[in-house]
Amino acid sequence: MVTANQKPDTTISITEKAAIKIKHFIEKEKAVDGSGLRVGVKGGGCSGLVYTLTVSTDPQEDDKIIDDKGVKVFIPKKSYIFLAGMVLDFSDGLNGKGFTFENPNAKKTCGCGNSFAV
Amino acid sequence: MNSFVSEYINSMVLPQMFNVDAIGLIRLKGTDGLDLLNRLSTNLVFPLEEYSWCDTVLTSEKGRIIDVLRVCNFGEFIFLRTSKSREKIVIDWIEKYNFDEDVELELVTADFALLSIFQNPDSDGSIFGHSFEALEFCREFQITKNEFTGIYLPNILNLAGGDLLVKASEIDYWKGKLIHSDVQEMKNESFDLLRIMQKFPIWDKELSDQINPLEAGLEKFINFEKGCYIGQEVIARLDTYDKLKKKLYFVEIIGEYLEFGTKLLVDDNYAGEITSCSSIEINNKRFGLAYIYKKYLDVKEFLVPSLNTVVQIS
Repeated sequence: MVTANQKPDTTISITEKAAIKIKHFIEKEKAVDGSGLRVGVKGGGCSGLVYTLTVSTDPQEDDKIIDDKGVKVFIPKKSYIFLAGMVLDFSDGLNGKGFTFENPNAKKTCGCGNSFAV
Repeated sequence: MNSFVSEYINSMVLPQMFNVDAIGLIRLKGTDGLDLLNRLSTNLVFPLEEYSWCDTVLTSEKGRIIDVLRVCNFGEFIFLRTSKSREKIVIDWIEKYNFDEDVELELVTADFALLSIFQNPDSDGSIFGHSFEALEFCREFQITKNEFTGIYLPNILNLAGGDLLVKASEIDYWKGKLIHSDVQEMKNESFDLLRIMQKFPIWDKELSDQINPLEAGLEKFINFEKGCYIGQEVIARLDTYDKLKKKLYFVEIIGEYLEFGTKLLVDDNYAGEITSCSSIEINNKRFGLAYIYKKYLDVKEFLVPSLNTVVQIS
């Protein structure tokens, strides 16, 4: 719980499982050193906003860069306010959903989990 | 097309034109326009070939109508026809979801005028001739040997004829040209009658932000295969589980003119209400549109006791 004197955690973090998968995808794309995962949002989905994930070779000028568990994550400035405090996880197995987003800004999430409203 | 419309159109000897001012216009530029619209609206608008068009509905997260759009792709730009006075709301709605996309929206309602032409497809008096019928998609129109230039759009009510989008400052010139070609001016009452007969819903009557596209009879503007867009889950659920409580119907009115919001009763129970009523009577009947609650659909006949008027689902 966040009290009046505490600032909410706005750091975006990734789990071990997600980090392993991101490294795997970066290797698979034969991306150059310094490449990372670009995480953003765009309009659409059932609830209004959908997450976007792409392997990126270099960050853009306004991107916020996070280095966690040996993986670089690039977040476009306009998307950051919708993603602050998010934990990026990976769900595998037969019923796995792939990358999942635990986003404290999401007031409503659609059935598939890829779309949210703030 | 219902039989009343066919009868009306077939009775037209000369083509008729109507200056449609109950619309808004937005010009959209940028490479991501159709993709963004596709993510925000009910129909499949991406890809959309150049010089083709598509009707779609912007919906909220609750599946309610933001506005109904006609999307006309002219390649370098896209025209969005909106409801009257909804253009700014549409622009704000699209901008809300425009992050890094190459999309630029411009309000152009005041710059253009829309002349809608209606013609009997079998009449010899057609100004467009038979070649016009081949123009199924929007493209620059050229009428009678390049005499006219402007933009041709499909007829607003999806009837035989077409719409000419011209500069607002040149509207009188175009009207003069058309009148010279024996095109008659259509009266407001006649246009409204055709609109009602074609079940063409308009904002503040049939459409509002409390209505969803299925209630308004806009199923043909919904692609149930396209996947996610804002409001899709709600609309899919309403459709799959048949959860609609009311729906828009074309009605015949025997009796008095009925104002917007006139309540329709069945055995003193509220069964629906009128949204539009024609001021023109044909064979002692007026025509209208009404939202009718599903549980009264079997009745097919409703009363407005205070006006001694009967309303029938056609």
